[in-house]
Amino acid sequence: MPARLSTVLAEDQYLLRDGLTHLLAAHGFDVVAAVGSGPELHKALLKHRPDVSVVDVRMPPTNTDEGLQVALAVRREIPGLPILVLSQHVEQLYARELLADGSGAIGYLLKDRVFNAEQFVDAVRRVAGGGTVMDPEVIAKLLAGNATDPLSSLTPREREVLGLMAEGCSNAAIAARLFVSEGAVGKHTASIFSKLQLGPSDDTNRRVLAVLAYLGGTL
Amino acid sequence: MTKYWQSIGRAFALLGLALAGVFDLAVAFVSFCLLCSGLFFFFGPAVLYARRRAVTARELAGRWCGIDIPAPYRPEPPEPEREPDGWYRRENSLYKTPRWPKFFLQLDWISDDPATARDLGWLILNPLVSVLLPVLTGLTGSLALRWYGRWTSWRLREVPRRPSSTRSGLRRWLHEHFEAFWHQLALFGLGLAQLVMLAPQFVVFLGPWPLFPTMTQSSRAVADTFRRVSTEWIGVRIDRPYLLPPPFPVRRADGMYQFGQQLSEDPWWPARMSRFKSMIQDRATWRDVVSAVLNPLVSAVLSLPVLLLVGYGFIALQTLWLWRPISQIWGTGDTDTITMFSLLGLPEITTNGQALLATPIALALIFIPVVFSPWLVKLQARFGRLFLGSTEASRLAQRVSRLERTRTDTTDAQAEELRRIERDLHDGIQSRLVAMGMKLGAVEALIDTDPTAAKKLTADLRQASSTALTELRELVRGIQPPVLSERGLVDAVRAAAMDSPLKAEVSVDFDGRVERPVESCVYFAVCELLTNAVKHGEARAVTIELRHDGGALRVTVTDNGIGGANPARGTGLRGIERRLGAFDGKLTLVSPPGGTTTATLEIPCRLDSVPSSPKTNTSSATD
Repeated sequence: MPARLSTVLAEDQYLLRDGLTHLLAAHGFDVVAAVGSGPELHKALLKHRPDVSVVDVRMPPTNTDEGLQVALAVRREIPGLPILVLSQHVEQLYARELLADGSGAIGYLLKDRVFNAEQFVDAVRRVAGGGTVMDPEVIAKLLAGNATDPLSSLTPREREVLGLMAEGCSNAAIAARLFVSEGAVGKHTASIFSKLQLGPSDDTNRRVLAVLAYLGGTL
Repeated sequence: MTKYWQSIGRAFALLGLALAGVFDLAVAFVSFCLLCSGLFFFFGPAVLYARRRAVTARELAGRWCGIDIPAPYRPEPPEPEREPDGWYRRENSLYKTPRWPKFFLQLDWISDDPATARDLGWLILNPLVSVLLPVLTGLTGSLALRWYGRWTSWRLREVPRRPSSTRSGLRRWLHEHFEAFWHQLALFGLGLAQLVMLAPQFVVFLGPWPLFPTMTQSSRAVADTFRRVSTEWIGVRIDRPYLLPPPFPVRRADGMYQFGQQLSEDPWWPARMSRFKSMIQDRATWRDVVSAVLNPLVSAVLSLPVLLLVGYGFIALQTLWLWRPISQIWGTGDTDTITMFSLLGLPEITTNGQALLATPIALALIFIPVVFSPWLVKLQARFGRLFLGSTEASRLAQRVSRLERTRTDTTDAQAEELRRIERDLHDGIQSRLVAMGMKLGAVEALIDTDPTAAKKLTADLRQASSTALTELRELVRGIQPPVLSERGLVDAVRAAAMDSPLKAEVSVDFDGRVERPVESCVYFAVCELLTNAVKHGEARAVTIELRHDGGALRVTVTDNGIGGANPARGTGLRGIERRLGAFDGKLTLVSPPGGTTTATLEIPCRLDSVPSSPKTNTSSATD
């Protein structure tokens, strides 16, 4: 059993907030605050500085992208504060804004993903661990969309690996998904890093940068 | 040495080509005269025939004179497309075979291409230059050929149209004033044409009056040309004042058509009658008549003195420096020259010194009247506007009919939209929920007896609920995309640009948000344009520009595709026009075949200058 991670939860619909609180508690998270509006979230994040937080995009008082704005603002004050953003819809635009600071520990998922508790909790843990988790729908839109130049040099297999990397998978998880050995995945990631001209630094950071490049992340 | 003789030979060949061009020119001229008299069959082929000469000249300039001239012609028009019903359509006519539509497409293509005018101008001037070519080649060898190549390139190259501001001072002055002079003459000519059209109009009014609407239509075409020339060339805006034509008579229950107390089996007669009546009642018809009488008079007063003085100056200049020396050299009777001078009222001039003194007077006669041309032409156009322009009443009448039409369009579109949403909900989410309910029942029944099957069913259920959510999301996106309500138009357009497979660039020059209904309308229009660029335009990159100035939002979408978009054809473009119509907005589409397509949406609207967040929604949030 890993250490209990302190968690802040922001969701304006009572039923979902309650459900998420139970779900997270049942999986060993310590929910220190569960709030229902933007300003409350801002206060709670600054006060608790949680190990991870789960934030809904649309919340009172404006019912627009309140959650996203608070997440971005707080991460400007506390860089790298792990936040998983949940939304009823996903936009590349929002994904790029979240990834723009390049410090990782960020997630952006459709609310539907909560249905699958194991995968959802896994995503929360990966964000808490400094990883990047993007919803498969964002990835699919990117694959269908315009490939920016450095990416066109990647082989289809490398693009696949990069896509899974953007979803937040570790090398082992990618190996399992693509039915190849972990060593083969390592070769692919090394090749991706060199093609995207990402110099040697710690692996997490390079993964974030690769995903940023993937999202056309020169913002 | 052989090179020298080769150059001489080439010079003679080029001279031959130039002389052959005179023949082409004659053919083109005759065909143009035939076109003016209504025989339009010959003009296109004749111009294409003359074009071959210019093409040869360009090739020879490249090969013999060492100067490459790229062909400036627009790409040929595409083949006419067959409509689904098997006919070929051109504007409002249908044809059985593609022959005539193709012919007209070609005619438009040829007469719209600025290269055609350039070719013909070259054909006129080229013989004058080419006559010198063999002599010069004899003197300088291949150097003259090179000069000739430069000359050909200068006349036959595609010249980008420079805005007048880039011209130097004197050239701009000359351009502006002589252009205004030419516009004066054009307005005078149009005034005369109005007067000429008046005669048959009155004849049919007194005699075969059912022809009156047709005749009036033709004279309105002349008045419209006056309006267009005045608006586009001179900058004096003249709006069309005419009322919309009456609707076509509606068939009664007994199969007859009615006009007043008259019934007829054929709709022709009632349609004529109602058109006649509406034209007689339209004040604009009678204002046109007044204008046709007064316009040529006023224009004559304002433009003829200038024309006479300028013409007089030209003739004086010619007499001083052309006819005088010629008659003195040939010595054929000084009497002729003297008569000419006295006719022009000039003092008798026999020496070059005297001529030099008289020259400034002749030049003054040409240039001083032209000084007033820009001002006079404005007066002419303003006087034209007095009777040809719209009045308060005609503007109101037009506005009412326009509002009626856009209101119908809007309510129709709204009803159609609601039907679509209902259909989507009914066929999609609703049926999925029913299926899920049934599966839940099965789970309830199985949960004790067969837990593994129940477990499998719940997995299915989860899948089904996720699919239902995806469908719902698509539906919501079609009604009002969430990013639009969360972030406003600019970011929504950015998001749409990111989702499109095109390389898109978005530039914005304002902060804040425009009115919500306008946002939605513009957003969907931009999405439609992006889709079109991918689907029909085969574009790879697109730029989207959003600007707000002068109380209007202007959105320009430019793609690098194959062009040729036609609002009359695409239902999507018509849909955009209809949506925009509800806000008094309009769509302008410039899409030459083979070129970039530029669509501009223009909607009058306010801008909330403070980038405020949308007002708080008290209903429960969906996210």
